[in-house]
Amino acid sequence: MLGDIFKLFFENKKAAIGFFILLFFVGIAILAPVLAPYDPKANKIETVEILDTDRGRRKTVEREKINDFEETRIYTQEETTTYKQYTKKFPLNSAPSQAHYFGTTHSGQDIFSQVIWGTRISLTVGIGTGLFTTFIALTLALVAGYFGGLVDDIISLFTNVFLVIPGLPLMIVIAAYITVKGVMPIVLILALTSWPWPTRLLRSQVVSLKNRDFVKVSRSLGERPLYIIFNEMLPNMISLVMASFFQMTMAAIIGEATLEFLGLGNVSIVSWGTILYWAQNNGALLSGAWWWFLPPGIAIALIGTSFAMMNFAIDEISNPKLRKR
Amino acid sequence: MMDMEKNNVLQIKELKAGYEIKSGFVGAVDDVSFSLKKGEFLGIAGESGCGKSTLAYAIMNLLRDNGCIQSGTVQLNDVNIASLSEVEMKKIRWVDLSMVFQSAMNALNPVLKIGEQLTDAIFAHQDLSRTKAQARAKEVLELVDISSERYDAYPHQLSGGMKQRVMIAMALILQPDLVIMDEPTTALDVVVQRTIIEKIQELQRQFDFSVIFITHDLSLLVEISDKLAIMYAGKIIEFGNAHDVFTDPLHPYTEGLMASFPALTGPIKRMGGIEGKPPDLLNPPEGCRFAPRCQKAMDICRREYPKEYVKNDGHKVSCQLYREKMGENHE
Repeated sequence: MLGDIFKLFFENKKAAIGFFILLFFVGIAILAPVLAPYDPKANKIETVEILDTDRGRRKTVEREKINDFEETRIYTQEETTTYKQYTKKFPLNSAPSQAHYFGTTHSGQDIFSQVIWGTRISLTVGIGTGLFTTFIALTLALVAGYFGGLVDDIISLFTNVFLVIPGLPLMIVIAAYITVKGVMPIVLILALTSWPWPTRLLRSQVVSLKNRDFVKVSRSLGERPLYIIFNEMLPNMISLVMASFFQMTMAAIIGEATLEFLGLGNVSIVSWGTILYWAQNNGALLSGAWWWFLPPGIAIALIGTSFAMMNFAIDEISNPKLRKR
Repeated sequence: MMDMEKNNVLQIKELKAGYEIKSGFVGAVDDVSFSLKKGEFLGIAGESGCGKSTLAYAIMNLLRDNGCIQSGTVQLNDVNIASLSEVEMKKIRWVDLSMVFQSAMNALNPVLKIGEQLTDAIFAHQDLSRTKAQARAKEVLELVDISSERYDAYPHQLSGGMKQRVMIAMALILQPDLVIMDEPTTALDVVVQRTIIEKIQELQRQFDFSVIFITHDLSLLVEISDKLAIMYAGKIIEFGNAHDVFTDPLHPYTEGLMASFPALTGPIKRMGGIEGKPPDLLNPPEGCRFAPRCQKAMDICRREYPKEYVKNDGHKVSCQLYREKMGENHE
């Protein structure tokens, strides 16, 4: 059955296009050190060539005789190295050229290299948060929806409370208090602020499915609750689960960009969000430096397109009625 | 007497079941007793909301949420189902008794192949190898005249009649002694209805299981069932051989029902109906529940509920009209 699904997935044009866009970005993320021509944080190239190393005289400082056969000595020796340093400063705020495909920033960093290295962090944060959020949401939704009663009431209460807390301000407050700077805290913050919406969505789907006749039939057949949840109900909501996953991943990429854009992440790391942050900070939009904010923006849009395409396809595949025959 | 009881697949005694709601208890099945022999086809008829489906679910011990069996026994073979725990019930359900649900359209999982759904029923109860289970599923599909090539079909690729036949196949897959059919043909057109009914009868003759067939379509029941039970407001008011009940309806309500569908032959008559509405089961009227609508109602009808009177041929009725003419049922 899983094999069928993979086959159907790649036979579907939309899925194939979406998948290859994603694969393209994943490839960039993995091969970043090979692909990026420069260090994303540097604004110049420095090469150092050692011309000559000259060692001075050795002077004995201490000598200790242990016995007739062994002794220790401590020496000092001076060493003089002569080397050639070549520095090439990048042009500041320059438009795309042969040397810098996407141009440079106001301080001369290569934007092409930044976008390539940024793919790594943006994708990690996005997919990591997407998986984490979907996992939380799906677990809570299945437990609340299937078992109902008090469990449902408690989970729904918390979901609703978290739902009315505005996400961005909460994100900002938590981000401001967390002292550990890096990728993990961002993933956690994004996951903690974005689980309620998909939980509610999925829970209502579970409740609706639970009351369908075919689930009642399975229950009267004597199938076990876990079997019913995973084999009868889950296949019916795959497209919704995947939609949540894609949406959460997208929201996380944008959320990460937002946090970075507001300077609440770690602005010294390189991600699509920080590129946009620095672009905004230095008035790229006003000065017409389109090469600065356009590439990360387009990358975010492309990832979104890829997810949307795959989502259409999964909708078609998971519902036998929509499958093309 | 003993031999008769031994022959019984199902014996229900003084069964009370219903639904707990805020304003009280809705006694949808009130003091129902009857028995069913092996291979017998019992039809239960009655209007909407008279407790037919509740009775079916009570026999399956499937009443959920606010529904429950209040008292009484449901004896299947030698086991009182009503007293079983959910875990014990799970072992019996589908193995000894199964059910064909009302809406086949919704009773099949839209994203699973019908074959998988059939084998799921097997795996829930038996430790069978996948190939054996598949063979069995294909076998039952063939039984209901669906080519075993359709094993890999999804429900939406089948017609309504075929889906209903798949549900029947699913009910028969573990060869139960009793199959309860809750309006299995209601959503189908008459031609498909006919083929399904014929299929059920054919299978029943072949495998000798008992059937409880629930419907509001009395004309259909008269034709196909051995025994007929008429339900009104949670009670079985008349029970007997289908032929007897049809040709000689005893209860005024049955008479009314029989008068409300046309005979295919004979002179054209004006259809009679039954005035009024069925009572609220939350507060059923004292005495006979049909009394407010009954044209033959007497004073006693409004005071006390009639006992069950039985004719010599086993035709039972609960009506005060027969208080003096017939003996009481002491079963």
